[in-house]
Amino acid sequence: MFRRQANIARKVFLSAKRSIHEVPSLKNEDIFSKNGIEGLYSPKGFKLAWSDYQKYLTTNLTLQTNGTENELRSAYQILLHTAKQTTEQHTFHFASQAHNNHLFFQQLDDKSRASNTRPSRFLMERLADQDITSMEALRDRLLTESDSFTGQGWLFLVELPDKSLKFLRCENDGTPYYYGKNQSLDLNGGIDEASYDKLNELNQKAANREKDFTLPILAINAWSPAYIEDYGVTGRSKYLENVWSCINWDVVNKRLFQL
Amino acid sequence: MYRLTSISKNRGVFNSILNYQRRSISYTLPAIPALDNLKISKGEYKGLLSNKAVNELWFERGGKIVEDLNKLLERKSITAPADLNELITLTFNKPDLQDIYTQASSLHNLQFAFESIRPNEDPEAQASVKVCDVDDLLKAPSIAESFPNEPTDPELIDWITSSFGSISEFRTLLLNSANSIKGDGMVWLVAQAAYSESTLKRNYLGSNNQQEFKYSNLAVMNTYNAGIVDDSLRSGQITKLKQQKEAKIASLRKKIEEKKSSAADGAVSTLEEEGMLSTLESDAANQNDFTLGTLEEAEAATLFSDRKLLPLLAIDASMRNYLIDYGIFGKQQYLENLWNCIDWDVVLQRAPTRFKKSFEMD
Repeated sequence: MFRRQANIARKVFLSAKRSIHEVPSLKNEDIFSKNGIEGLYSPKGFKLAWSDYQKYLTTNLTLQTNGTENELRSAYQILLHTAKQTTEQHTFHFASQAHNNHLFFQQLDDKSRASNTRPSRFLMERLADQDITSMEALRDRLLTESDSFTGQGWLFLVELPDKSLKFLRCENDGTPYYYGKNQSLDLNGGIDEASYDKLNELNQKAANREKDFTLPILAINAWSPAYIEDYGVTGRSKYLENVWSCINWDVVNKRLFQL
Repeated sequence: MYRLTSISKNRGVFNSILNYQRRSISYTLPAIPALDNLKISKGEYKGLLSNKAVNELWFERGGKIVEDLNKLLERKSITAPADLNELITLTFNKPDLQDIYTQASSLHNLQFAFESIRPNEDPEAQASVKVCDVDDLLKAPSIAESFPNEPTDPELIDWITSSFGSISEFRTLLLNSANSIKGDGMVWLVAQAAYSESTLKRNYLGSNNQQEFKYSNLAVMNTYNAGIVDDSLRSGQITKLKQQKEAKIASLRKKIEEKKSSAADGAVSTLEEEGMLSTLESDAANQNDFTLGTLEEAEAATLFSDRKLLPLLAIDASMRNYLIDYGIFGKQQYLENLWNCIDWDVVLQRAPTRFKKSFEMD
């Protein structure tokens, strides 16, 4: 009889699970936190951009989701669940940022190692459809797009359902997974016809309840914490150049759909 | 307010030969004595920022904005007005000048925020400029009802109290609004005109100067990136774009009908126009959706009812302001220190005469 009760107690205990969001561990994290990322971050710079910032995001995510329906979900699931909910945007912010920043740091490596990797032929073929035919062209496109944010933002290279590739600019905490929260437009100042049409297109998509199957394969972080320590407030361009030379393309190649 | 370097070329002989008739105006970083002194003394901005942070936030960032602005003005060969505010007004609803608008309003916002504060001379304040750690996120918020550096002018206190309930409620609203900005942005204390601009225009026929506005209410509002407070002139762009599209459709339709009526003379193909018309019409038809509101409705809903807003105080909530001295966990501490640095004398100078409505009209 006692045993049965203990069993019940254990069952209750097991079902009352809570999850706490922790900073995920990176490959080579020990080396990075000791030496920084060669060619990109000092140890202090790495600490702010990854260890501290990710800790900040995951702690806040835990605080925001504790005791809610999102308690047991991963950051990725939370961002999908909250993207459409206007009252859940604080939670969305932390989930989306935590996910994006993880995606970004997974693809970084020391310059010496990263320089041995190249985008796969398959990837370059897909990019050729976007008029990007060489590494230089890809670099130029990536750097101009990611350095054009007025404020904070993310630049993604995304794969669409038809397997074509496209660059996607996300202002602030925008996510590539849902068109309604891409946040590609900054509506301060004058609004041109292209932005107006884009807005109408989004409105139409949402009215038709269209689904979004976009997947990011490359993320570039243009947020202040990613560069302020090593490059200063005005050092974004220099930082982005260095990011380019520290991308481990092996990671990116693997994210692309392959037969 | 803005120092101006105006280089007038010696016109005359060269004029006719080189057709060189350009007066180049370039902006310079405005002078703020408190900051300029720090550059020389290499001291910290007491109670708020280290010398390094001031240098990066004001001299380097401000310098870069000015430089970019001047480059853009030169490239587009635009004769800029001497007053930065005028430049903003000229550019804020022109899509092709958006990059100029962005730099101009960033400079304006940066300057406005730094002019709203003064160093906090309290000897204990310097200790609170420190790197915070993750535990600071878990700190219980203060439930105090009075805080240091509250405004002392009785009229201002009265106005804040009648607009927000109390000084501490106002402080909480101001700091929480700043805390809720995740990317780049500012929180403003603004005076709101009692009547909307369209009402004023109707009644006073075009007399649109400051004196005409009666400010009855104070409000707190956020702007993001290069946003500006007085948005009322800018708004309505989306509605205008829709009207343009409708006009386009109407003119196409007219064209087709004209061609059809003259079709007897020869076989004139209207296929091309009809194709264009149908795509435009399908776009326009899509906007009449009852399940999801239209863009024009969204714009109308976020308008500040086209009321004139006058900024009195700005707080810069962008990450760069606290990352250098307070670290990623230090936003709350930074904001609390910032409150202690607010220069209420400046706020008072900016404040318009309060207008008390005897009864509510709208």
